[in-house]
Amino acid sequence: MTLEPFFMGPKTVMLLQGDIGTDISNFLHLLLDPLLLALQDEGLRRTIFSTVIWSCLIICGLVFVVYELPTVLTLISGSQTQSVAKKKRITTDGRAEAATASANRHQLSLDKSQKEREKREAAVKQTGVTVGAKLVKDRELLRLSVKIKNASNSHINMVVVDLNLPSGIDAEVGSFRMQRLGTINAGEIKTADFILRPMGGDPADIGGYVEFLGASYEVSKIPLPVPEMEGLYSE
Amino acid sequence: MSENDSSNEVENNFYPLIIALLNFSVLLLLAMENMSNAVDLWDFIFVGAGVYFSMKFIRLIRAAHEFHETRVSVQTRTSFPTEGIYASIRNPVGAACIYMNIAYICFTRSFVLVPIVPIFIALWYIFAAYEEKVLLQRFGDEYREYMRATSMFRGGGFDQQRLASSGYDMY
Repeated sequence: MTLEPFFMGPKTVMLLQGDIGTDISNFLHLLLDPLLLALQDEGLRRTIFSTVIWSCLIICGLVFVVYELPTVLTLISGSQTQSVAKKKRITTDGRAEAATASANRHQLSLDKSQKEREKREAAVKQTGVTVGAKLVKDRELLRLSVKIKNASNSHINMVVVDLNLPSGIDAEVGSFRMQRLGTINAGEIKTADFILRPMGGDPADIGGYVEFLGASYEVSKIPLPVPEMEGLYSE
Repeated sequence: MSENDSSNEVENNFYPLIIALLNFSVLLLLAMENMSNAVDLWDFIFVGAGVYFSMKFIRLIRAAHEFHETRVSVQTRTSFPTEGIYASIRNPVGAACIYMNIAYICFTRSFVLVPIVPIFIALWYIFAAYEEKVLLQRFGDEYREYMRATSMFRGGGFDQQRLASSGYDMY
């Protein structure tokens, strides 16, 4: 076989004209033969297995102990007993104890939700983004337009409009309950249109939210206002 | 709840430690008694799988303990983590220990462990289910929403995560 048409150097041609397969085979034999020979020794294989297995088991055990050690220390020092004792002093009757615990949990959840809501509202106010919704009757369908105005000085990213539809109102075939609007620049207005099919549900119950990533990379979630009705309830 | 308040919580979650002690002391004794001495090709494959599951155990335990709440009992927890490993798995410690049980089967290569390990896996599952029940009672819809977007033991690539996410994976 001649390699002249490929314009290769004479050394490369010589190399390729030789039996390259044999060379590779010889090279691999030199490399792997001692290893395979050693592994044929059953005792060595058993030692390797034993080392690997017990190393893994010991390391995993140590990892667990190291991470759980603070809990064990707390158990030994008994610092958690104080709170338990305090709880027992407050409630004497079993039923009252359960009721108090339940009320505490409920209060905790309420406080947390309230704080979260306030935090979100403050964050939304800071963003300067306003959301409007308008519902227009289009024959037997409804067209919901969600208008998002970015009145802040910086752009907002990853804008998503997600609807919570009540029972009796569904997204029309080909229309989705969620739309991504991407980036909205400062001062820009973008609108997301949804086509809905009413099947006995109340359009005033349509809810949802607009979610976006602000300039400070904080995720903000603005609930959708009750949509303005146009052409509805007039018939 | 501020992060400071959260870090002041008492570390009193002893149940994982107790279950793990029970689980692995039994498995360790059985492994010492019944570990196969064979060193054939299948043994290499099984030991390789065991090493893989051990690595998973270490990774999950390390990731779970990045959050202080992991060591706080669900009864006294004032918040629940939703970031890091908790963004995809709700019970990483349980998942880690289940993987370690599988690793024990792979390392031992004995049928003796096959009927025992499911019992311990069930124990971890019951414990995880109990924790979730308590957290649901304490945090209500907030935790329910978190449950929709995550799985109990295995994370990543699930349809439910894709469906529950906003499309930009901001949850």
